[in-house]
Parts: sequence; structure tokens; C-alpha cells
Amino acid sequence: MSFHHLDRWADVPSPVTRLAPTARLLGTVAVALGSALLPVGAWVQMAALLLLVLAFAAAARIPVSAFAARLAGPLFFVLLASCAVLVLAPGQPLWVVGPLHVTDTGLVRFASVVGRATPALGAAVVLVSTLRFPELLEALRKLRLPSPVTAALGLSYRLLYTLADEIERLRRAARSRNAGHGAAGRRHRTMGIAAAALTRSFARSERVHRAMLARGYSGALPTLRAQPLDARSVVALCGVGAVVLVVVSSAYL
Amino acid sequence: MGALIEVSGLGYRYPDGAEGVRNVGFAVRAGERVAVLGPNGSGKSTLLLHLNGLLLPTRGEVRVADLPVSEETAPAVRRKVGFVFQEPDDQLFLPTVLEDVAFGPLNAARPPGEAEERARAELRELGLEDQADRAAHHLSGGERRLASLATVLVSDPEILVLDEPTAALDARARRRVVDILRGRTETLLVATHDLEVAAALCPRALVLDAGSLVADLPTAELLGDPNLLKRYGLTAPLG
Amino acid sequence: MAHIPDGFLSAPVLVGTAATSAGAIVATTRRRARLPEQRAPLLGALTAFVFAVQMLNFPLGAGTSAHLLGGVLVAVMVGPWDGILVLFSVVLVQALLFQDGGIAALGANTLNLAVVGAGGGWLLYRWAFALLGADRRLLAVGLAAFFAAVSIGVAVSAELALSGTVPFAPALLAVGGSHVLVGLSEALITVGILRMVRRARPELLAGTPLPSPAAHRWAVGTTAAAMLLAAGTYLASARPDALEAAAARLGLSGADASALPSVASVPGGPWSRALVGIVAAFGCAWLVFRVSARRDRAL
Repeated sequence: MSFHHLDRWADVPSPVTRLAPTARLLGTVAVALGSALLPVGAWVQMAALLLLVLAFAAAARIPVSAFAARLAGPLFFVLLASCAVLVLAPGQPLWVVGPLHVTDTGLVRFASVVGRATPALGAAVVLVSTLRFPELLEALRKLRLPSPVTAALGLSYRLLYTLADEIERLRRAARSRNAGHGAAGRRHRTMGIAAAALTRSFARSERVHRAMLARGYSGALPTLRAQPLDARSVVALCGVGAVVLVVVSSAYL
Repeated sequence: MGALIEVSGLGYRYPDGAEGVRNVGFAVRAGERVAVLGPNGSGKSTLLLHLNGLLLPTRGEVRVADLPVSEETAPAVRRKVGFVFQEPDDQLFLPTVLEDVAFGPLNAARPPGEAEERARAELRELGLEDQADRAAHHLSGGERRLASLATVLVSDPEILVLDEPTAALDARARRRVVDILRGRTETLLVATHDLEVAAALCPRALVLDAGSLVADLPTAELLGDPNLLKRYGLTAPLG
Repeated sequence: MAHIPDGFLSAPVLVGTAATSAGAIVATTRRRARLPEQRAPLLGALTAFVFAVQMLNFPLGAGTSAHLLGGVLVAVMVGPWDGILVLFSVVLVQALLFQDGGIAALGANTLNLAVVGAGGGWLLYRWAFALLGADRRLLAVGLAAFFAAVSIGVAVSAELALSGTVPFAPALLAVGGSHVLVGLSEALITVGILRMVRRARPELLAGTPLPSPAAHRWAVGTTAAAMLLAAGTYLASARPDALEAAAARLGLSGADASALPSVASVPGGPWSRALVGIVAAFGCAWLVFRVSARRDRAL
């Protein structure tokens, strides 16, 4: 269980990381949304948005190999899932593979799904590579996400790391005990780890709550001053928004 | 008005019925440094948690700066008492160390700019200014302990209560913590297993055993008497 | 496929699901506005827990393994509202930082995993608990976990079909079918974990009030009604001419009995269907709120 890929390029100064966190987040959402909203068959527009994403990846100084590596996993899953689209759509069969018919509509839909998914995934990869978790929180707060959610998320970051450590320790202990053989044994062991992780999560949340109370916590999680949205970020965001708007609407006209 | 902390006839029973402490009474004057000693399960932590109202007595009374500790007075008491818990990870719960240290001032309604300044100043004093924007899990064990100390010191409490401040620290880190605490002037209560730390920091020792206060004496006297140490379960020589 | 990536859903479905789940989150937040301040650390810890546990592999045998979705597990311990918020937080971070589930599809994934998975799962748990009685709590949890997972599968299939990505029947077969398997492992693992938790810290599971005799009668009634409806629908679709004959005998001659209302027959294309979907969802939600508010007042 590794979270070490998170924000590896967030400390590299670049035109992208210099933008305010809210702008970075909204820009990503705009590209992902725009890409997902493209109609079936809008190849030119899909390519345009992909180019936009790659331009930002380059501006953020993300190495090509790292970008590709981060993109590969989720993209592979999308390809796998869209194979179902390939063979399940109605229409003229183009070629037959055993009991499965690949139809013309299937092919178009398949390509559209992949074509829409790739820029969206790429935008997400750029985001995770250039946004540190505290900055993400800051952006979510600025965007008025409900405070129970931002409060929970704020605390969940550290709690996740400490929990991951505990789970690792539980795993080692379970392995050394060598309890149970075969799938059923391993499943039982994993359930035991999950159950222990759950009870420890409750216990830790009580202890954290005590520590919060000891430092004056009374229900709201106050935050430090956040960077105001500077002009450069607003301009960049509007620019991205405009490009996405133009690209997407051109597909519908 | 005399003692800063007054504990009289304190008894605490856990919700499951187990007794935590039984009829504990003592007083601490301003500026005193007291070690709270005793084997595991003797009620050290339970006792300490009463000093800032995280636990409320089932019997008896606790007074801090003349305030009887209750649910209503707890917030005021917590402004006077800085509590450092056993586990640094329980106190470093925000995404960056800076936010953790600023948490106290922010909750005391200080404006964010001032809270940040105080937090950075405190981190600088402890030599952690480079770690301010990092998450606590990127810090070493010793640094984490210092950071947890910073989260409390930043609020300038009158009383410092520490639960096992040197647990799991290597010799150098332990030295660092002790040196920092030695330089402070606040009233100090330290629960610890480490008799060397008790000797270095606290002239006075309270000894607990099975929830009762069995001794209240100068630390030097306690540590100089191996029979006493054995009787109270503070040492059990292996030889 | 519980988390839907970007690219699979059409614009109307994206908008419809986003509006519905946004409404659900807002309503849930208002409901928990008087959040006892204990809850923030607990919700944070549970968000971290669900996140971590979704990454664990539970071996099933023959080289396969299952993952836990965790909606019912959390909802049983902290209730539907906090369950929805926790699952929403998880889905949000997964989309933004782990590319698990699309960013544009966040509305759909929130609807499926948080609202249906945790909120709906909790309703199923209360229903099953009222039906089966206090002694069979874990069985109720298992049933709820199973049916919640299946419901998620149905929801995903419906969203895919309404988007025109895949026709409904094959989608239901593939996604819904696989979610039947997911449901089995979800039930098995959820119950297994809760049983262990109950042994170690029984007070953590003390949250749910025991079902009253009235609740039990209500559960029996609705279960019977649901089974009758299911049987009736099956018979009607299998024997449409019998239905027409029955309609004629009841004096409904002239009524086109085969024109049973269905989603596909909503006129106006996908956008109006999206609107109908949102309105229907809000209607159901309003009903649920009224019922639960009445019950809260009665307590």
C-alpha cells in the first residue's frame, strides 16, 4: 500500500505549481468534464484536449516516463472495461471473434470511450503530480465543499499514514504467526487485519479527539490563511476554461 | 490561594467498572516540578487526564488555578494546562507540522496571521523550522516528539503535563527533550518510567500503585533507596 | 466495476447523477449540521479506514480475490448520514488523487457508492433487521451488504445503458451479474469483520436501536408486498395476454395494458429522462426524510 507517488512533483517550481491550488483543481475538473462531455465520434476535439493536457504536463516538468507510468494503470483498466462496449453494441458486425461480434457502432463507441477517458485521466495525473494534499484541501475549502467533508478529509490524511503503518505491522505479525493455509486461511487472516484496523481506527480517533480538546478544539477546524486567488491563476483558469468551452461546443455544432 | 493544582480525595471509576484511581490527594505550587511514577496500570495516565478535564472525577475534586475542574470550566482549564500525550501521532493530526502547531492558537481565536507567526517561532526555537511545511510522518521519531511538544508550548500554558515524554526515544533525542524541559519555567508534571528523566527534571516525586498514591517525597530520597524503589515496583533488578 | 471512469457516461447522465448526488450531500450535511464535535476525528478515521480496506485483497480461492466496498460496514457502525459522508470523501479523494473513478463521473460514483451503497445499504440493513429480529443482526448485515452491492451493480448498468454506451440487458447481465458475486464477497467479508469487531469491542456495534414490534410488522408487510410485486411483474411480462384479459374483465377495456410506464418510454430524449430521474430521486428522498423525521420525533 503506497502513497508515496503523491505530490512528487508538487515541490518542483513550474508555471503550473505557481498557480493557486483552486485554479489547478478547477482547471483539471474543466478538462476532465469537457472531455467526458464530448459526443461519440468527436475525434478532433478529443485530440485537442489531449494536447492541452500534454502541454500542461510539459509545463509542470513531469518527466514523460513518469507521466506514462502513472497513466498506464488506470488507462489499462479503461481499455479492459471498454472491450465490453466493443462487443456489446448493436449494429453491423465487422468481424467475429468466436461468439463475440465486433460491430461498427461498437468500434466507434469503444474509440469514443477511450478517446474521452484519456484526456480526463491525463488531467488527473497532472493534478496529482502537482498538487500537495494540504493544497487540495485548501482548494476544496475555497470551493465551499461541506465542512464535515473537508474536516474529515483534513484529518484523514495523517490518519491514513498511521493506519497504513499499523496495517503493515498487523500483516507482519499475522504472517509470522502463520495462521491458516490456503485461500480460506488467508482470507480469515485478512479479515482479522481489517477488523483490528477498524477497532484501532476507532481508538485512535478517540485519542486524537482528546488531543484536539486539550488544545482548545470546540467543533470547528480553523485554518491558516490561504493564498488569495491571484490574477495570474484567474487568467490561466479562464484560458483553460475558454479553450475547453470552444473545443466542446465545436463538437456539438 | 496557595497551590496551583489541588487534588483532594480523587477517585475515578471507568465506565466498565474498573477503578482508575482511588482517594488521591496532593497539591502542587506554582513553578514546582513533579514526577509521577509507578508501574504500568498504576493510574498515572488516568490521574493526569483529570488535570485538564479530559476525565472528570467520580469522587473528590480537582482544582486548577482555583477553578474546580468540571465540564463547564474545562475549556478555561485547558487554556492553562498544556498536555503532551504519550503518542506523538495522536497529536500531529493535520497535514503539515505548521498547521499542527498553529492549531492551539487558532482555536484560542488568534487571527490566522498571528497564529502562523507564533507557530513558526515555536518551531524555530525547537530547531524544526525546516519541517514546518512537511507532514509529520516525514519526521524522525525524535523530531516528532519535539513537534508534539511544540504544539503545546506555543500556547504558553502555565502548567505543563507530560505523559511519558521520552518513551521510545534514543539517547540523543531523550537528552534533547530533557534539555528543553529543563530550560522551562512552567509548573511541570511528568509521568514517566524513566527514573533518570525523573531525577534530571523533578525534585519531587509522586508514586502511584494500583490507583492509590503511596508516596510523595523528594526524588533524590526515592532514588537513593533501592528498597523503596523495589517496594513501589519502580525497579526489579534482573541480577 | 464499481468506480466508473470518465468516458463511459453521456452528458445527460453525468449531469443527472451529479445533481442528484449533490442534492443528497447537501441534504446530508444539513442533517448533520449539529455535528457533535466528536464526529470529525471519527469520520476522518473511517475515511482513512475505508480507503485502506478497499485496497486489501481478500482471497476467495482459485487465484481470485475480492475487495471490500465498505458502505454497509461503515453505515452499520455510524449510521446512514455519516456513512454517506465518509463514502463520499473516499470517492472524492480516489477520483482526484488516485484516478480510481472519473472526475466528471464523480456524481455517478457518489450516487452509486455513497448514496446507494452506504445510505441505501443502511436502509436495507434496518429493513432486514426489523424483519429478522434482534438475534439475527449479523444475518441482516449480510443481506444488506449483498443487496446493496447488487443495487450498485444495477445502478451502474442503468447509467451505462441510459448513456447509450451499452444496451441495458447485456450491461445488467455483465455488471449486475458480476455485482452478484461482489455482493456475496461483500456480505461474507462485512459479516466476518463485524463478528470479530463485536468480539473485541462490542460497544462499537451498539449503535442501532432494536427494532420495535411495529417495525417488525412493517418489514414483514413490505417484504410480502415486494415479493408479490416481483411475482406479479414476472407473470405480467411472461403472459401479457392474460394481463389484457384481466384488465378487460375489470372494465379497463381500451386501456393499453402493455403500456406499463417505463423509463424508456419517457418522451423527449435523454435530457428529459435525466430530469425525470432527478425529480424521482428527490421525490424518494423527500419521502424517506419524512418517514425518518416522524420516527425521530416519536422516539
